[in-house]
Amino acid sequence: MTNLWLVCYDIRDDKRRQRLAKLMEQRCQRVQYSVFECPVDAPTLDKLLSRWLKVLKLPEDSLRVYPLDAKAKAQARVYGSPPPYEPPDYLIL
Amino acid sequence: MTTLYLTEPGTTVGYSNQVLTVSRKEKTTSCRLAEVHLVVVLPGIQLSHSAISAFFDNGIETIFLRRDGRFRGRLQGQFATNPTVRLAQYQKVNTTFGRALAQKLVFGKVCNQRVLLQQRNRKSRGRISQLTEAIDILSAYQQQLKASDTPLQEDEIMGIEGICARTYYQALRHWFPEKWGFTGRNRRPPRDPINALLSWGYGVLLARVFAACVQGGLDPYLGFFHAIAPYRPNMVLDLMEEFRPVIVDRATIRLLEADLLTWEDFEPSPDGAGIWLGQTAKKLFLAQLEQQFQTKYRYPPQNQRRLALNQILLEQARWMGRCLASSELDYEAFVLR
Repeated sequence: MTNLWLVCYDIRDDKRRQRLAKLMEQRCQRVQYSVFECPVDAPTLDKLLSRWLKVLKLPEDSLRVYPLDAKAKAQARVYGSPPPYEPPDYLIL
Repeated sequence: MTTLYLTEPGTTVGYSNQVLTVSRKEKTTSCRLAEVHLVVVLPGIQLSHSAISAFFDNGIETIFLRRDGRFRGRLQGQFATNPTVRLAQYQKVNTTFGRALAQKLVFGKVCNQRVLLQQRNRKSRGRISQLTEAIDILSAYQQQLKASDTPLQEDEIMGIEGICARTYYQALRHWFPEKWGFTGRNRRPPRDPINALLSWGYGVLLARVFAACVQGGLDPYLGFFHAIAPYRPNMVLDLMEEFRPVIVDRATIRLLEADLLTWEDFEPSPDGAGIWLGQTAKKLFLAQLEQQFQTKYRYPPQNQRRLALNQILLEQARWMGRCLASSELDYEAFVLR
């Protein structure tokens, strides 16, 4: 089962923030300026995290990841943007 | 996982930072590569070199179709094929084993055709006598295909397939609203909207089964039912038989039941002899087909696991490969219950 993770960060330095954002955009859906939803399974998330953490300077920066299981996803309340991200089955463009 | 259909002429596809960007006029849609497993490209689309490289490097199946829906080709990078399977495939041509396989494939097709007609029969409470008759005819041939201990002769199998197809397509008109004027199957070119949909759908299915066939290690051009006619992907045609009614015919029925199309959604083919799908019809039909590909069924060979039809396609191709390599005639067509 694909899981969904909510990932958010606080980064002071513009350069580091942009580097991280670019990395995260490879696999996550940006939902707010520093908030992403990541539709991957747990092992993949670990791989991604190891890449992301190399960019950060701790503890000055911070990154948080929350799991969104099916229940949390259904209960999430979202206003002014699409519901929690799910890769579409098909895309006809 | 996402299937990406590129349908609008004038679209360009770029790739950077692991994301595909699909642009047409001012509008750009992006799509993460990691989420894509199949790309279907209609004519008039430009793929950038970086996009093509990304498809190769990530093993993403990319299929190209012609304007009338026929299969044009697919991107083929490095691939792992198993010579043992191919060798076994060549050795089985013109053998009793090959004929028995052909018979199983046709059996699967007839079963699934019958299931589709029966659904209509139940809905109409058996009031359409031609439909009941057609079902009986298909049942009889189904028995004949199943029962024989010694495989039937090639021309016998061909004959049965032909009769069943004619019976089935004529009975299929009881599924379609009368205004479409469907009386039976015609093709090359299709002469009414329903035949146009069927032809287009079979083209898309062929492309998908072609990919499954190669992934299963089989030679697409050498078959058992469609034996060895040149220039024709015979193995692909063999493997797709059982899926024609389940995927394409059903998608066509669903689309027409939804009543979204009118005659204006179809256009005459350039030579004026037949009818083609317009842009809207293509998009709506693709969505419907894709929903069929994604529909899950219990798959008996794997412990009744629930699999989407597009996965079942691949599993059937792999099974065919194993069956040939091991010389054990255990292949069974995928039939609806």
